[in-house]
Amino acid sequence: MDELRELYTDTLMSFYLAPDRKGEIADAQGLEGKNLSCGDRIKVFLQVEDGVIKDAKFTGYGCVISQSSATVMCRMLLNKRLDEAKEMIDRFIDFMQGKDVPEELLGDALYFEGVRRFPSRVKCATLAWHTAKELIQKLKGIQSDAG
Amino acid sequence: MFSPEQIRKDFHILEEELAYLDNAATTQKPDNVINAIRHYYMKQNSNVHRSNYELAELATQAFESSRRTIANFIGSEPEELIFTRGTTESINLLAYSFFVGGLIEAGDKIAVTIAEHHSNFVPWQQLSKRFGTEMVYVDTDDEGRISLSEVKKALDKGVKLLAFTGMSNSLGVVMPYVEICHLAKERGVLTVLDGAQLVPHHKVNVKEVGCDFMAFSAHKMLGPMGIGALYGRRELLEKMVPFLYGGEMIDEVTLEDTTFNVLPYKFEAGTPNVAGTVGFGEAIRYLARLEWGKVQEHVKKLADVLIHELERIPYVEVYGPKDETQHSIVSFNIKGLHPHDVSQYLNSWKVAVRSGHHCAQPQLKRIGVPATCRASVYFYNTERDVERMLEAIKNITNEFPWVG
Repeated sequence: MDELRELYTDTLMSFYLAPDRKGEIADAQGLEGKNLSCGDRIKVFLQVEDGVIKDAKFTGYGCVISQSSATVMCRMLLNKRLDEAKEMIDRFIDFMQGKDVPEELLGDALYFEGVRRFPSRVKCATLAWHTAKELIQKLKGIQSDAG
Repeated sequence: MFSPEQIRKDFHILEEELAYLDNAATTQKPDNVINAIRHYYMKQNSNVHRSNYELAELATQAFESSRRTIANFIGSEPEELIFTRGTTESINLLAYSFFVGGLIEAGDKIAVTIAEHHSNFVPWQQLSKRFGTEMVYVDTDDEGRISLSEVKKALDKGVKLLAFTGMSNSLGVVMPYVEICHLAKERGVLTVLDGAQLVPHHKVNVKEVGCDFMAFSAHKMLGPMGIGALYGRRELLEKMVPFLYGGEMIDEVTLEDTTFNVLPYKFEAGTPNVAGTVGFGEAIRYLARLEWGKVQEHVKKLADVLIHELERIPYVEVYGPKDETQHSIVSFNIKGLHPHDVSQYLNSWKVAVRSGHHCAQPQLKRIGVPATCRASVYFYNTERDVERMLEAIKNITNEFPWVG
C-alpha cells in the first residue's frame, strides 16, 4: 500500500481531479499522441504567438499518471519560448528515464519523481510530453518556413 | 478427485502470495513441464531429423512423440499438426500461403468477426489491402456474442474464407463454433478457427468441430512460450505452398528448382524449437490427466462469482454476456478510474490482472470502451484468489475516494 502511495501522491491525484488545462483551443495547432501499450490517446494544443506559447491545453482519456502529467506540462508550457519549451520537455523525459537532472530545473515536474520506480508507468507520465515535443518541432518548422 | 489446492502444489510460482488472474495472457507452468524441458537439454539435446547417432534419435523421438500427443489431444493426424511459434505465426502462415499460392485471389472475399484478437484480424486485413481482396466483417451484439444469423449474412455475401475465434480474449465469449463451421461447410467456405483461448478451456476435437484449420498456443495451456501449432485438413495442406523456405522443409534442391518435403515438414523450415515442443507435449499430458468436466465447472464457478459480485458494486461496470456463454474471462471497469490505475492498485493487493485493449480494439470499440481491466481464471485458481480481488475492489475507495 505504501508503494502505491509513492505513485499516487495526493498532489498527482489533485491534478487529476482538477484538470484545469483540459479542453481544445480553437484555431490552435493540435497533435494526437498514443500509448501503444494501452491504446490511450491524448491531444495537445499549443497556441503560439511570436515564438511564445500563449496557451496550452489537452484532451483525451487516460490514467491518473498521464492525465495529471498533461495538466502539469500544459501549465509549465505557458509563456515559454518554443526552444525553452523543447528544452524543458527533454529534461523531463530524461528525468523520467532515470537520468540525472538538477532538481531545481524541474519545477513542478518533480512531482513525478515517484513514477520513476514503476517502469511500466513511465510511458504514461511522458505521453503528453512526447506529443508536445513533436508538435513543437512541427510548429518550429512552420515558423522557419514563414520566416 | 479434482482439487485446486492439490493442483497448486505442481506450480511453484503459485507458492508466492499472489492471486494470479491473468491466465488469458499466459498460464503458469507445472513442474512436469519445467522438468521435461530441463531433461531434454540435459539428456536429449541435438538436432532433429538429421543425424543417426543415438542422441539425435532421442531428440527426434521426443519431438515426434510430442506431436503425436498434441495431435491426439485435438483429434487430428500427426501429419496434420504443424509446429509454429504460436497462434500468431499459425495464422500468418495460413494467410501468406493462401495469398502467395493463389488459393485466395484478387476479388475474393474474406470474413472475420469483430471479436477477433488482432492476430486473427490484422494479417487478413493487411494482406487484403495488398492483394485486392475484400474484407467482410461479422458484427457482435453489445455483449460480444456472435449470432448465427450474422454469420449467415456474411457467408451469403459469397466469402471464400471465414476466420473466427472460438472464445474471445477480451470478453470471454464462447462462440457457437461447431454451428459456425457447419454453416461454412454447407456453403463451401474455408474455416480458420482461432483456438488460442478456446483450447485451454474446452476439449476440441477438430474432426467433430469440422473446422478446416485451427491455431493455438502452448503457453496459454501450461506449456512454454514461443511454441504453438496449426492444425490443417490434410488435403488442404497438400494443396498449399510453404510459408517459410529453408532447411528441413525440402525434398530435393537443384539449381533449377526445389521440391518440398511431405507433411508436416513442408511447413516447418529451419531448426525447430524442440525443447518447446517437449514442454508443449508435457503440458498436454498434464491437461489430459485432468477431469475436464470438473475443471470447466470450477473455472466457470469462479468467473461467475467474480461477475456477480462485481456487478453488485455500484461503481463497477462488467462487460460481456454474463451467462452460460461467458467463460473464465471477466472484463470490467471502475467508474472514474482508468484500468491502468485499477490494475496498479490491485497489484498492491497482490492481485495480477491485465488492463488495456487486450489486442482486440475492434471489439472494445464496438462495446464503447477504449480499455478494460481483465481478470482471467484457470483451474489452479481458488475461491481465495477471487475473494482477494473482490475485497480489493470493495476497498478501492480508500485509495481513490472519488470513485463511485
